[in-house]
Amino acid sequence: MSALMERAKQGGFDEDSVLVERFLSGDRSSFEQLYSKYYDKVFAIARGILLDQDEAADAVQEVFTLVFRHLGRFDKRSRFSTWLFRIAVNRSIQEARKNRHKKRNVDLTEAVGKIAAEEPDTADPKIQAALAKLTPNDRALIVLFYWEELSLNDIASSLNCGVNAAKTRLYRARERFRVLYEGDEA
Amino acid sequence: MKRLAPELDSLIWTLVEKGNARAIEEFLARYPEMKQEVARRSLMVKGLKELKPEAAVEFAPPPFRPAEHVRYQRPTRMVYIVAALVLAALGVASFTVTYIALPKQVEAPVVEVEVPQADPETFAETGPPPKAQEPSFGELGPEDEQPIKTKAPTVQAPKAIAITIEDAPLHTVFDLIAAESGLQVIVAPGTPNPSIGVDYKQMTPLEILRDMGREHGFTPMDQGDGSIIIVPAVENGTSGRMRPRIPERPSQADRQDGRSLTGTN
Repeated sequence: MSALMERAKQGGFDEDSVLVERFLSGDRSSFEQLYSKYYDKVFAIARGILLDQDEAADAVQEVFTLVFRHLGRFDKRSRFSTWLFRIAVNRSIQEARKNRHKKRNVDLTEAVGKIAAEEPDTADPKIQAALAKLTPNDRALIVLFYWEELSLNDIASSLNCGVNAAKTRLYRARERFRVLYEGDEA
Repeated sequence: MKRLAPELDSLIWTLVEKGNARAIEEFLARYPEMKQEVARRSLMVKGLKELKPEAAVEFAPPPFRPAEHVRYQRPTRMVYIVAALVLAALGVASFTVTYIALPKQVEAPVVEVEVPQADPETFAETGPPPKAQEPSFGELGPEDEQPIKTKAPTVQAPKAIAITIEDAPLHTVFDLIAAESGLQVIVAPGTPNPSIGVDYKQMTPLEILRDMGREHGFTPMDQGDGSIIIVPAVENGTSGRMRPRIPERPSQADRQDGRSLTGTN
């Protein structure tokens, strides 16, 4: 098993491809490995977009359920992680939009306070407040770029758009965030 | 706040995102007025990066249990694009079907009518030249798209006929002449219908009818399209007063001339 992994790495294949192939061949334990490897990253994306710990945990389970069911559709033209992040972003944005209607009447300061309570003491409340005011799409870009530190190519693949479009969208999202952040600061 | 030049703005973002202290120092040495902006953005980027949840890393992820209720949902934008494409396809299909199914508008055909030069003698004898019949477009189908150039039917010289009737109504004689010659004889209302007898040989129908008209008070008008209209008037303007005539056998001389009308001369 480890020899296979080593050989895959030497041959230029990533470990994920091997795990995907093994899962598609019937080895369920391979999926557990993918799940363990990417749980934190997917959770971070969901958490950054949904701004809620519990909703993010639910969203992660839903994302991996979708991956589990539809892994056969993965066409291997991109990396598994990119495909997974795309599903995570789309699912989280859908959930955020769905929940936005539910939370329309909730006071924003109350929501920000709830987020702040969940975060470690080091978190800047102004950053959280500005992030909470962004749209889910903008939050997805911020999260992918600053938290996951993905390249523009990977962000473009995750958002299913071109590199230039990803660059423009990231620039706009960052500007909107900055305006909100500095507005709160003032 | 004064807006920065795009290149400078992009450079500051790159510097604070990379976090290279030496590069930032060099930049500030060149642009000391940007110190506050760089500091503000550095703080913002640092705060953003620190906000990343780290708690999940410290604990083992919960066991994976596939959720039953999860269904794949297509992104909303994709749904709108597909819906727009479907609507566009429906529109194009509808237009195409309508375009094919509806008959094309037929342009009015150009009718070229050959009007014969008026011969003073003929005009005096037969009246004004007949008007061209209005073309009928009601039966034109989609296949008749090309403008139709039609010419008035060329009237062939009527062939000579022979007709001999001892006693028959005038209108029946007209019918017989029409049947024999192939012309259409239209009898105007008011034309009398006495019983007559005729005997013509080797004469054209129009000549026969003219001769009959002089005798019985009507005028045949050749329409030039294969039809002759019988009007109850004579050339001198008076309506013919019909007298029933007893048919007589034409004389031998008349028969040799090829014309004879009972009860005349």
